[in-house]
Amino acid sequence: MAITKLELAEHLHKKMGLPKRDCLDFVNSFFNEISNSLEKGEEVKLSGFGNFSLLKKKARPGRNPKTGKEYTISARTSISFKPGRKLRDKIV
Amino acid sequence: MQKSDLLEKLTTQNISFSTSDSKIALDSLVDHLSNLLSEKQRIEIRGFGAFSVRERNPIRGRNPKSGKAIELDSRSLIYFRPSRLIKNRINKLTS
Repeated sequence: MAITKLELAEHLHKKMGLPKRDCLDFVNSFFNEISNSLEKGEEVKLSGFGNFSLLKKKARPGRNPKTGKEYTISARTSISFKPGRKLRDKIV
Repeated sequence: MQKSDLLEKLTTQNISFSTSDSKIALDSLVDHLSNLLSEKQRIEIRGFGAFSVRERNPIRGRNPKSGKAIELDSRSLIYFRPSRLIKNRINKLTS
């Protein structure tokens, strides 16, 4: 089973001894603030973990795989996560 | 945004966490995420995205200088897949 925010909150609760509800709020604000920053077009750098950056993609030709009809994939922004050295070294 | 900026925001939003609590909580959250990934666990955050670890097969490489063939070990890569919601948000779409 995948790890969810609930498990992360549980971990903080055990570590900090603060109410579980408050720990879940903390975990929520962690991910919300990262999202908000990205939404503003700002990259997020978390030392010891990694960097979230924005990829500006240009419009490019695409094809509907079902019908074979050609269309243009509009320009869009995507998110890339690049793990930092410390995290990369941990994962072998 | 850097970790210190994030810490500031988290401190103002979470009144039950003192400044030092927030720092400890942020560091342990990031540490915990790293540890989970090193255990090859998949982390799924609704509305944000999912982190997973993918195994790469060993590849047959070549020393570019000497031309000698070498075997490169299999390795694991961290893969982040952003959720549709966050992608829509950064593209200012509504749904």
